[in-house]
Order: sequence, then structure tokens, then C-alpha cells
Amino acid sequence: MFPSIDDVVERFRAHQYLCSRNVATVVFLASKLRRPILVEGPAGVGKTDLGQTLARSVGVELVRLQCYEGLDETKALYEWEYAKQLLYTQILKDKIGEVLAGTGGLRESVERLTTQEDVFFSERFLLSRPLLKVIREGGVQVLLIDEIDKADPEFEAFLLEFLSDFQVSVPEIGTFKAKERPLVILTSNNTRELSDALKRRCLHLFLDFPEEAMETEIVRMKVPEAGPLLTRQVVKMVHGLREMDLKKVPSISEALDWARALALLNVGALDDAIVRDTLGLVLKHEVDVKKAREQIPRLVSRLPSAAGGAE
Amino acid sequence: MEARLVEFVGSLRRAGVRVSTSESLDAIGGLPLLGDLGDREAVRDSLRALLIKNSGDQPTFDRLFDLFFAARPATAWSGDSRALEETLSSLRDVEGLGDLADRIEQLADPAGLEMRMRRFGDEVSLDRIGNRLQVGYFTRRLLERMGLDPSDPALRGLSAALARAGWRPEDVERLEQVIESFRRGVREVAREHVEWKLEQNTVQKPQGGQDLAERSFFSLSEREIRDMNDIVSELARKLRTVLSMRRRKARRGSLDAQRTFRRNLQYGGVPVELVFKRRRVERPEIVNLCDVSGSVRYIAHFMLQFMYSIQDLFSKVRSFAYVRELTEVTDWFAGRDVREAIGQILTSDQIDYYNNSDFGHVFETFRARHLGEITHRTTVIILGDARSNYHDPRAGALAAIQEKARQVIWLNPENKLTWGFGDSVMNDYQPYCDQVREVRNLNQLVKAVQDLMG
Repeated sequence: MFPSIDDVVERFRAHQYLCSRNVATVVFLASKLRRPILVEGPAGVGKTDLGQTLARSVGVELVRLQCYEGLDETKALYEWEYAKQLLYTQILKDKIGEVLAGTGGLRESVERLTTQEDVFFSERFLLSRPLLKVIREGGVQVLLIDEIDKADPEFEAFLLEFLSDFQVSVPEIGTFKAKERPLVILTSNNTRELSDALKRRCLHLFLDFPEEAMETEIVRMKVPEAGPLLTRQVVKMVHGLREMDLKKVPSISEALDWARALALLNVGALDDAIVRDTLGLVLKHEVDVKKAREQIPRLVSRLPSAAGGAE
Repeated sequence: MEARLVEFVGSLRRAGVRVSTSESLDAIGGLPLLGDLGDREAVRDSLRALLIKNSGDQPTFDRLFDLFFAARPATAWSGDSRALEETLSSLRDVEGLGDLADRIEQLADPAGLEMRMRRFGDEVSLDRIGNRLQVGYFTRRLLERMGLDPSDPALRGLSAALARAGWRPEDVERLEQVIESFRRGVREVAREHVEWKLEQNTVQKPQGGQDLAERSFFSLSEREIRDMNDIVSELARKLRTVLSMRRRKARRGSLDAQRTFRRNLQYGGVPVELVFKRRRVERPEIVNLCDVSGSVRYIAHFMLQFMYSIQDLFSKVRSFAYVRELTEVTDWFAGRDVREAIGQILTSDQIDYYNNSDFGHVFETFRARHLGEITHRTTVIILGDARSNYHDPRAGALAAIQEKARQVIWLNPENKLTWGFGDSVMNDYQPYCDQVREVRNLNQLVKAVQDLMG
């Protein structure tokens, strides 16, 4: 799938996702071993994006399972289409006379009935949910199980079986097994400890905020309309904010939003007043905004300027 | 490589990192897939992904990785390689010294040197090294095995053998110098190897969060208290997730027949989807009474931080701080950062830190001023050591509070065994509390709050 680690970096870049070699190595290894990757890290560092980019670079549709508390098998695995099944029994009622026409006793009728196709529990009425879908579809599939920590521990236990054998059994029909093991990415915001058993089955990847140079490149790539100076300044500023003790530190997506907004406002370079007015785009809590306002002069004074003082 | 990985996993485990057998098998199976094992960072990233499943273990992993997979292989001979080759070939010309020449040649190759170092290390039980004083001993043992200890017969008889072969004294001396510097090189490498082993055996897991949460509040240092802040926030966040999950679940009540009928009209009245009633869960009201006198103020700090981090689980949280006089501090939290507010509470001049604790007076004041605000939904949490400096405990005031409140919970940061001794009046208050708990560390505090939520 990926011939080398560098190939992962290249192909991800082609799909607008810059990743460090660390990330690329883990993706490469996972594609070889066909092990799930468990991605942990703060919100907004591109965990979900990683799954999407992986699907795109493999060239398939991403199958996504968003976890939430109360998620169960019928939402994750499969469900019977009750309404259609009901309709089917209605039709059956109407047709049963025709089918059984000409039969003698009860025994003959039952025999006649068993020759008919049993449709009630068949794939026709089986609604595939993400996990079953991944398995029934041919070829390599990419599955994203998002925010696994939000799901109940019971669901996590149920997932263990799926992740080790990639098979699903439907009692009424039988077992479905994936012809080719899918690539699975699980993300977690670490709101609770995941079980050791789950962690053992996965490759572990800790994504943290990127370094300044990397983030500058990301912003440059995603928001080319912001000039090079503004891009550098925005990233520097965001990094400065991350060092503060805030309720919610700005993530990459906030840096992107900010750069985009500033470009729309035709801002060429940051100064105290502009930062003050647009800080709300980066910080999402009133307390944080208040705290950061006091630091604006200090942060702005450290910014690179047009006059060459780049770093 | 395999043996080396097993060894690596072994020392990870010794450093307190949990690595299962299946994970180490994964590492052994996974690493060859990289193809190029010369890419050290790729090896590091792969092993980290395969072996380390808790981000807290990453620093330990990185340190051990650096120790184990050194950037470049150690060599014994740093000088001119031609000089060494000439020496070896002239040694081979002398009767009885070919053996020595072979040994030196094998050790001059970095891979050969490393392989022997490991093998001989096993033979002399280098794994058992645990003390710096043993470094010299083990280095010597390794050199002996490699046949390069000064006491080795071949080395000792070297000059005599060369003289017999008709070498001029100055040539003998030159050759001996080369061999001596090679020997010193090997000794250096052996010493490094031994020290490396020692370090591996002594890498300790850094003090983890859980340990700190188990330690008694009284034994924490300034630094640890700062670390503790983060742990408190973390625990509060986790507890909140767990509790709100549980609450949502508990909300599901009995079958709602009316809505079930309506919902299922689309299926011709066949009840396909069931609708349940939602139960209303009562959120408790909390009144905190926090002792902020010198002896227990840090616990008050954690208590307040904790309660305010999870305050959205309660319908209302009111807090009072006291030493002798009672001060309501609820409003101090309004629109403020929790830590900042707590910092202010612990230093404010509105609170009489200079006074001696007098619990009786505190309860009496509370009864006089706030008793009317206590309802059957109020849980009163008192944090204090119940050391009343021989003042009258006035347990009657507490009894009056308990009568009106839903429950009174007393959290005492002192060891249970010391309650009732000296000026502790815990036993006087105990009958008027629904629960009295010893809360000496963070885990006990978390447990107490968790139980409070039922």
C-alpha cells in the first residue's frame, strides 16, 4: 500500500495533510501490520483528519463511526429493518393462500412452505452499520472510530473482538469476515482511561501540537491567502498563547480560522489593536480572553516583523 | 536484534513500564517491516508505537531508547587503521602470537566487539550489576574474557617473544605502544558498556500522578503541591465524565405508554420502538465549610478546587472559609479562574488566619446567620481537623444544622487513630454527622465526593 515511510509523507502532503515522520512511521507500520492505530492527543491537532487523509490517500471512502455514550451494537454493527420486515409479513399473509393452494393436510402445507425462500432474516433486510459495512465491502477499507473514550466501557469490550479478528457474527445468518483486513484509526481525547486490552491491540500514537515551523507550513498550505509574514505572526502568537495557563488552549484549527479571518479582513501584519479585536476567534472562553488581553503587548512585541527580524 | 529487543523490553519493565508479551512479540515482528533499520528515528517511532501505550511512559522510553540504541557503534581503535593492520601482520609473523593477533582483529571490528561484549557480559552475570562500586570489577572481568587483561599470558610474554624473534628493542616498544593503546580503547568501551548496563538497571519510573494522589497531604513539598494542581483538575474532569454518564443513564425511567402508542402509529400500531419516561434527577445543593487554618489549608485548597471544577453537577455550591470567624467566599469565584480565586481566599485579609480554630464558634455563627438557607436538599460538607484548642465544641449547633440538612458529612484530614486525642473534639461531633471520613490524600477526597453523588 505504502512502499516506504517517505511515501506516506508524500501522499499525505498531496492530500493537504502535513505530518511528521513519527506519524508517517506509525501509519506505515500499521498498514503493514494491519493493526489499528489509537491516536491520542489534545482536541484540534488533526486526529480525525488523519483518518480522512488516510482514506483519501488509499483512495476509498472513509467509513466513520462516531462514538457517544449509549452507542450500542445496533448503531455500530447492524440492525434489522423492522418496518420492511413487517411489510414482508403482510405480503406473506396475502400470498400464503396462493403458495399453499392445492396442498392437502397440514404436513404437506408445512413442507411446501419450507421449499420457499426464507427471506425474513436475510441480507435483504440487514442494515449495515459502519462496522459491518467495512467488513462486507471488498478491498481495503479505512475505518475511523472517533472519540472511543466517549463510548461506554461495554462497547469498548465488544470492539475488542472486532479489532482482533475483523469478523462479525449475525446469529440469524452467520459470520461475516473481512476478506482484507481494514485500516482502523481510533481517536481518543483521553476523558477516561481506555482498557489495557484495547491498547494492547493498537499501535499507539500521541499527537501533540506541532512545532512552530511545521505549523507555519500547515497554515501556509491551508490558508495561502494569508501572506508569509501574517502566517508567521499568527503561528507565533498562537504558540505564545499555548504557553499560558488557559482553560482551552488554541488548537491548529483555531490558528487556521484566525489566519483565514485576518486574510479576509485584509490584515497584512498583526498589531495590538487587531489582536485585541480578533482574539475571540482564537480563545473560546471569556476568562481566557480576559487573561490573554493583559499579555497582548508582551506577545505582540515578540512577533517577527517585516523588517527582517524573522525569528 | 531480537535478543536486543527482549533485553530492551526487560529494562522497560524494570523501569516500571508495563509491556505485555504480545506487545514485545509485536515489536519483534514489526520492526523488520521497516526494511531499513539504520533509520534510527523510524525505529524509535515504531517501537514507541508498538510498546508504549500510556503517554506518561514516553520519557522513560526515550531515555532507555537512547541508552540502548546508541547513535553510533563503539570502536576500540580510534587511530589509523593501517597502523593497526601492520601491527597485526607483524604479530602473525612471530611464532605463537597469531592467536593474539586474531583476537585483536575480531575486537577491532565494531560488530564483533559488541557481540563479544554481550556474550561475555552474560557469562559474568553483568545483568546483576546494581551499584556504581561494581563498575571496575565488571570491567576487569570483561577484559579478562576478551584476553586483554594485563595479566593475560600472551600479553605478558609479548616482549620476550618478540625479542626471541630477533626484534630490535625500539620496534618492540613501538608495537607494544600500539597494543597498549588498543587495549585501553577496549577497556574504555567495556567500561562504557558496564556503566550503560548499570544505568539501565537503575532507571526509575518518574513519580507518577497516582503516587502523589496516594500520599498524605501533610507530606507534600511545595513543588508537589504545584504538580498536584494538575492532578486535581485531571481527576475532577474524569469524575465529571463518569458521573454525568451515570446520571444520564439513571434518567431512563419506566415505559411511557402514551408516547409509545403515538410513535408506533407508523408501524400500524405494532410497538416497534419503545419510549421511556425520563426521570428527573435531583442535583444536590452543596454547602462547603472549609477550615483554612495553617494546619489544613492545602487540603482546603484542593477541596475547593475540586468542588468548583465539578460544580455543574450540583445545583448550587456555596462555600465558607473559617478559622475562627466564618466568611462566605462563594462570590469570590464568580467570573474568576478557580485557582486565582482560591489563591485569594488563602491569602485574603478578610479571613482571620492569625486566630486559633474554634469550631464551636463557627457552627454557632453558621446557625445564627445561615440556618434558614439550609433545606432538605442541602448537603453540608465540613472540612476540618476538629482541633478546637480546648474551646467549647457546642455540638448542639451542629445538631441543629444536621436536623435541617439532608446530610452532614465531615471530612477529617487527620489519621483516624488520633481523633479524640488532645484537643480533638471529633468524637463530640460524630453523633451529629451522617458520615465522618478520613481524607488524608487526594484519592480519598475523590472517593468521598464520588460517594456523595451516589
